[in-house]
Amino acid sequence: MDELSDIIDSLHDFEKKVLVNLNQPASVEKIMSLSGLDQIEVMRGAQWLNNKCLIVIKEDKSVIAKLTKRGAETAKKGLPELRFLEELDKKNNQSFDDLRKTAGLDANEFNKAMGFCRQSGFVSINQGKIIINNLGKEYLKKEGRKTIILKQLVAESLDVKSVKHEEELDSLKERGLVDVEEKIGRELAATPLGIKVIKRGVDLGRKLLERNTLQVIKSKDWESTDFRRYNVKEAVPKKYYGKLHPYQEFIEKTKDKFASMGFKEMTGPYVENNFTNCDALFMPQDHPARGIHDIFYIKEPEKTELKEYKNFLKKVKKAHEKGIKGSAGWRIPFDEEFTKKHVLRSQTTSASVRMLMNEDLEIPGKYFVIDRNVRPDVIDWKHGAEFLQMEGIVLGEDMNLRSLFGLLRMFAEKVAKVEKYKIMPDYYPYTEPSASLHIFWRGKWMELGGAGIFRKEVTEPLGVKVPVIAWGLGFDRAFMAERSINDIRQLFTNDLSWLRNAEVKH
Amino acid sequence: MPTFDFSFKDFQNLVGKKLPRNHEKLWDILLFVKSEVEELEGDTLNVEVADTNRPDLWCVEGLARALKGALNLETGLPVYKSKKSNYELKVDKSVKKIRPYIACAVVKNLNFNDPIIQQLIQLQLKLDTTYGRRRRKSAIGIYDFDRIKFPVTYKTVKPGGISFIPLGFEKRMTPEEILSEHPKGIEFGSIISSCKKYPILVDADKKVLSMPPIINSDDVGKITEATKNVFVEVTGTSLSNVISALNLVASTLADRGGTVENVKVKYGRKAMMTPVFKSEIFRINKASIIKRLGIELNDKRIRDLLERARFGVKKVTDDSVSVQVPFYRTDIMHEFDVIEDIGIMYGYENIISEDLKISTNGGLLGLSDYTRVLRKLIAGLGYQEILNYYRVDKEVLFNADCVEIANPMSNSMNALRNELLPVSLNFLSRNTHNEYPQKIFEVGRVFEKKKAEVSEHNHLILVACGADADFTTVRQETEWVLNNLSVKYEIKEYDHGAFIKGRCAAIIIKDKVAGYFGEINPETLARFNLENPAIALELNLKKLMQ
Repeated sequence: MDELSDIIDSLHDFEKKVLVNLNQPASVEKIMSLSGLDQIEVMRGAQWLNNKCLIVIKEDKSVIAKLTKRGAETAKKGLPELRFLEELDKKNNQSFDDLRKTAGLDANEFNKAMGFCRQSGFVSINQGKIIINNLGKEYLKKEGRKTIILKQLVAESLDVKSVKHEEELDSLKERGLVDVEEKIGRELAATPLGIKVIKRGVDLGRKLLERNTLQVIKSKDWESTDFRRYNVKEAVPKKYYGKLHPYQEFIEKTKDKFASMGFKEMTGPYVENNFTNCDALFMPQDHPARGIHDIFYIKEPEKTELKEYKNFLKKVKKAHEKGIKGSAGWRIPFDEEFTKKHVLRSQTTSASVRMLMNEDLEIPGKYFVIDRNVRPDVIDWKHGAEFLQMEGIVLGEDMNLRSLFGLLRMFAEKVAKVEKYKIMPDYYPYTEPSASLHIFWRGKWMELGGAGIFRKEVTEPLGVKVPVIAWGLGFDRAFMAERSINDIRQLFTNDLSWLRNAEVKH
Repeated sequence: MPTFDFSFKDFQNLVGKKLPRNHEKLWDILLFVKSEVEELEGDTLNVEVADTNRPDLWCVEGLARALKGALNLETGLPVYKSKKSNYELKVDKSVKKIRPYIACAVVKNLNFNDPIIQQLIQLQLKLDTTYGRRRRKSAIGIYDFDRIKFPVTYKTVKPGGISFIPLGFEKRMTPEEILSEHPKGIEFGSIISSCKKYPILVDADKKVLSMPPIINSDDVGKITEATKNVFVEVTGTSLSNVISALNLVASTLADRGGTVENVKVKYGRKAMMTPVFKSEIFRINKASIIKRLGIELNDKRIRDLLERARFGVKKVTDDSVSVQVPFYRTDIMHEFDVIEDIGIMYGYENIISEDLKISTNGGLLGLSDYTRVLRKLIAGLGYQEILNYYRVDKEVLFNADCVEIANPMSNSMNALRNELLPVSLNFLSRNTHNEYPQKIFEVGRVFEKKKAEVSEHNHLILVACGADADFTTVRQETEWVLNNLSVKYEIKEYDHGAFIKGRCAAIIIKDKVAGYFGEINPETLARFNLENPAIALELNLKKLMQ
């Protein structure tokens, strides 16, 4: 086996039939008549041969002029203004009616022709008679070419290049009598390699197997006949299959990580209420960050009944108004209607609040949640329309600032996997003390998240008697870092092509 | 979080020590006051104070005061004094139902320059906005003392009953005109506009000082570098807020070398002297320190750390410490608030972290596990997973009965989705330039009104759009999913506006509709600018999981 016979074995029937007819360059049409293939078959064969460098396809663009429907009619009758002038040239000094009849024009055509000729100064009128002058005669001579072109075009469409009088052709085009269209003629010519193949001889009669089919397998044709060789290097059309969303996969991976560290997943609704979203977290009701510019409210149902949390509500109200043992509280009236108002969750901490009120709460216990929140921020590259938070709680009799630091260290070392990090004092309205975790990442300090021990004013009304560490890590940012995404809006992208091409991480 | 600028040189002068310009080193120092360096350019330092409950830190003077303690330059309770004086302010009883409280002070011998005035304005703005709840709870006014004749009266007037030139304007205006024309009147007018009469401050010559909490008058209510002595007042609806805000401003001016003199505020026969620079005694349990911080400290160390945090220490007994809390620490509510400061002064970097000794079994919610299985099954059918926002344009939904947002930012997100089908079709309509067939799926929440509550379910949607999309395919895929999940179901005829009549079916699980599938009708396709046939399956996971 050598290169040439490999090539020959790879030739499809169409290719063979085209190639054997290419001892001399030939047009597609000629190959069609020589090979008996139709145009599509010739073109496919030619394209494949071209891909294999056996032939070249030369394209020759030409512009073809042909008559429009109106043009065909006009060609039959002649152009009105020319007929008008022709008749007058034959017999000068005619009356309006006579001329109209001899030129065979209807009233409309006649008026138009008359108008044109008078305006151009081709004719004058004397005592009701029309008289052609020299200017008119010259025009007629020149314009006679248009009639010739029209007549030629009646016979056959013409290559524009073969029409001598370009100006006249353009004018016919403008008048909508002639249409031009681009036509591509293709000439096929064998390359030197192609010639070699032809010389070696392409056996048209030699059968090769095309598709492998049930029939082929059963009949054992493959024992006596070879399969046609495919060009395995040739590109095939792209196709897209099923795939999971990279962000959702990142969420799932992180969930597994937390579960493996002993955290149980918890949950909460996206449509929250002021009670679980803020009040139970001991945020004062008149705080400026609780207005319509900071939290989304819903139209209907405007309020929840908070049935399941009635007892907690009483205690939280008391903590706000009068405080708890050892704390004076906010000492402002607590609005029970306001606390029932539905809001869209502005922080996943509300899920922690619900867990603390849950009768299945385990002490000691470790919980986490990764979920969506929303605030009325203006959307830009760092503020998405919705944002995810990852947070949770750790409950236990011995939980203190040192264990909180231990938790943050675990996040730095096991979740973010960095060696250099700092724990710093911070402030959250519902924790005391509070701390934030900063990691040194890609040459820069970056805040990864924060933690604190829930205030007594939070835990006591909810009936929790042990210290509770609350923690939260930024989630959107973590994914953006993993994917080197610079715009947070990419996370909920509407761009199917980005999703289809996104790398699958392992 | 409060962010503000000040002069780095001024800051160093106030602290009394040269501070590092290096970003990280400066950051390590500012940590003591829970602040972060945003930028230091030339002499301008921009910091962000994390603590939104510590108004005393929202000015350069307050940061310096706290930092002096942390750096051991000046520790213990800061001393502020107010001199007795004969200045009086009368409170008319008509203010009682409108804006009942006022506290004031006179501060003399000031040496203002422009940066100091800028700091004062910054502090006033921050206190009014956050601590004063956008001026509703408390609002500050500062005046040129030398142009006021005492006693001053705090009273009310009819909306058209008086006129004066408000700050920044050239013509005299009545309170009513101010509310409708002056920018501050428009911004804050709603605080008093429902009242029949408006609050006003006038001096003994009936000269208007201001119309609290809206605007000062243009003459006495203007502070310049030439001003030597000032009159400060705070009005509001909460006595404790009013007093605290006054104390903060007066002590800040004292830090600038001013001499504070008090004013007698007379409510009828009752009188009150303000400002009140009085510390309160707060008792903390020693046991709570170790319990909360996990570190053991001896008495001397406790005293030392508290004094560095600028608390006074009155007495240390076997089990408790009597702490003097400076008047400006309005955030101290519980002993843990004091204990956190002990921890901060001890230094977070000195606290040795401890591994969590709690051993618990982790795990995912049942829904999370189920969703995972389902997602993999659908991806196996050749569908691309997508994620969409919960909020949508109401117009996109097929079912208009949805949860609407009362204060949407834009119409494109004014409701919560109640079905995933419209959201997915919307996704496809934005991707018509991409190759077909397009097969997408999502598992996510939908929202439904249910009397006084909103119920949230997880749904699965899959949509295929392309030349080959037909009923047989979607039915085959539906059955593939349901059979693999061992769900018992029935298929019945169903009508849904988005589907071709007679080519839509419901999935019945335990006698209830759990979802539907079929061929999308051409009208719907046209609505979403789709030119290819499409099929869809939507399923409620809750009904599936039963």
